[in-house]
Amino acid sequence: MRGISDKRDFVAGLMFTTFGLAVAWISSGYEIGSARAMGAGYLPLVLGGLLAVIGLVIAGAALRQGTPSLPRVSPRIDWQPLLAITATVVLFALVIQVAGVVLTTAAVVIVSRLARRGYAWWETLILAAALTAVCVAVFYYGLGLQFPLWPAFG
Amino acid sequence: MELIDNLVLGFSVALTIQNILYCLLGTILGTLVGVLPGLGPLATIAMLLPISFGLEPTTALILLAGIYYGAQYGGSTTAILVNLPGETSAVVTALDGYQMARQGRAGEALMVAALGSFFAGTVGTLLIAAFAPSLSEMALRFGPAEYFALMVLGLIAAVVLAHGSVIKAIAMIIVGLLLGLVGTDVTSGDARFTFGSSHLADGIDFVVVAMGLFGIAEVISNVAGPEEERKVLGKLGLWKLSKEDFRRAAPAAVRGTFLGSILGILPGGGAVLGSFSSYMLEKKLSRTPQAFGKGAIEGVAGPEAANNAGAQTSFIPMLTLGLPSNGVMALMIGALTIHNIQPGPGVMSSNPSLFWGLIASMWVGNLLLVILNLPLIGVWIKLLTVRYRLLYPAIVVLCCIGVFSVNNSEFHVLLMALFGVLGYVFTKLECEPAPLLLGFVLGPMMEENLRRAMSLAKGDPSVFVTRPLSLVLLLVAAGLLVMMLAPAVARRREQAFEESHEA
Repeated sequence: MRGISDKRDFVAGLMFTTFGLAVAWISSGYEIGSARAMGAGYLPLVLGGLLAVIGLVIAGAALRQGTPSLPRVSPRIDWQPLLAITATVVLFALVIQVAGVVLTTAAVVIVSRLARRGYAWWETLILAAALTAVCVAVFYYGLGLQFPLWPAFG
Repeated sequence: MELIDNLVLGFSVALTIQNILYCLLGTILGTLVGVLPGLGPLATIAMLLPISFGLEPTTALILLAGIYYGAQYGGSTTAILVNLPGETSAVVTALDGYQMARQGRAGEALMVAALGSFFAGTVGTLLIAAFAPSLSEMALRFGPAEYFALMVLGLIAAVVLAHGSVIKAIAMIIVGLLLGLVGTDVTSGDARFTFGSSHLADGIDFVVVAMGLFGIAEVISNVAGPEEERKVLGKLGLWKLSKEDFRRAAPAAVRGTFLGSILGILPGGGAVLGSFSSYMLEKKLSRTPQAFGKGAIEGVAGPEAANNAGAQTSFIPMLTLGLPSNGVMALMIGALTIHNIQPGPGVMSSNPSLFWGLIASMWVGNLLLVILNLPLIGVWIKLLTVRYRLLYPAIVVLCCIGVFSVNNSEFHVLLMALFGVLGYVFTKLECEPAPLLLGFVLGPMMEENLRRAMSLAKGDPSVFVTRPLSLVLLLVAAGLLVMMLAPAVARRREQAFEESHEA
């Protein structure tokens, strides 16, 4: 019987192999040099190749193996938290310099709370207000970090 | 005596007002992290790295170290009071600690945990002070070949002693090594894997990788998980130990300390391995093994002492050899590098006040924990019921601001988002991200030593096997690897980890 853990090992193996091959291919464009005087491409080429082989071994073993170990983690991908949290971080990167720390922090908290349904909106607002106040106090006034407080108008 | 002189130097550094305050801050933050749900020491130290840039290197390390061992304390508090280990190292503490709490003996369990940890912390500090200098001296005589072999052994051992698939962890190490090579090659000056972007010319920032993999990815996993109910038992019980309790707990704590100290030095060991082993040992030695799991005080004292001792001694390879034995130590090495201190055997001679100051501060920190935590227990109890849904937006905000502030660069924040997604995918594929971090930290060092060794040997790879020390190190690494890949041993190892989970 092939369990879910096997399928995941197969995917993991392929991921490693793909990454290894990509690295090896890119580093073959760099100067390889010799064992005595290694160029920039020497070690990445070797490691990339090694990784590709290990990936194949993992994938191969997953195909052959009969008894899968119990999966510790649920294999289901939870799209909502994944997308919401990623979007939160990307949003921060895009707006921090333009919108300033006050609006950014508030927006980031609100977007991050979209990660799951059923959170109370008033809780989100209180959190946004509180965290914004703390961040402004600690990072803007306290540590003097380099970002604007408010959006620059005009 | 030299040891005394060194310790005096250490305490003269650790006992300045500023360092005591940061030590206190570190231990309080650590305890907080251990108590709060879904927030580990790795993520917290990663978040605080940028803030520590502005501090003196010694003060920065004192703060970060405090978080690490403080988290062990906090983790045991939740383990005892709500049966939820705040940290992996406190998993076994929950077994008997929570049972004691249910019998109305939570106070005793907390006392034993605190005193056991303090004893272990003291011994751990002394052990570091006693053994670190000779290890450092030995390591200073290492050539590049020995160093390379040592790093190979360190990485392999870290994988073998951690749980999970060995081969997948090795793949993760290689991914980490490769990520560590991104940026301008120091020897040739060629840009590698930068895709023409000037943002990557200096390599991928360590903070970005750590916060993405451990901060953001953990938030995604935790939010997706079920909301856990955290109910604190009403009565704490007595705040003192009876003679009988003491008689049973003290020897267990002593044994746990020594077991934990030894296992802590091993790569991959740290605090976790020690606490599991100590629990097994106490159960074996006990005349009443059936009492374990039903509130045996030895089952709290031993593992608690062991995890704290291990947390302390895992600093030894990091401080003397520049080798990280676990993820937290990889972060410490990152912190040293950020402060322009080359981790390795040179630290002790070039920065004696940092080295000894850090060690002395660990003892100070442990003392502060005992003095503070017993009266502060009420505060921790309030905090450990904080819901994750209120906590994670703060973690995300702190990660973003932290990474942004490193170089004032939006690019780094975007890169962190990428590593967050990657970390989540890794978790889903059951690939542990900690080995990647070890590889990432060691990548550039390994390449440099490999290059130097090979150019000294005029391109002859036999240098690694003709130099006796390098040969021995590589043989041990190969032996470990073969052992782990042998099916019989692999199965037994699997069972041992399963047992320690169920135990």
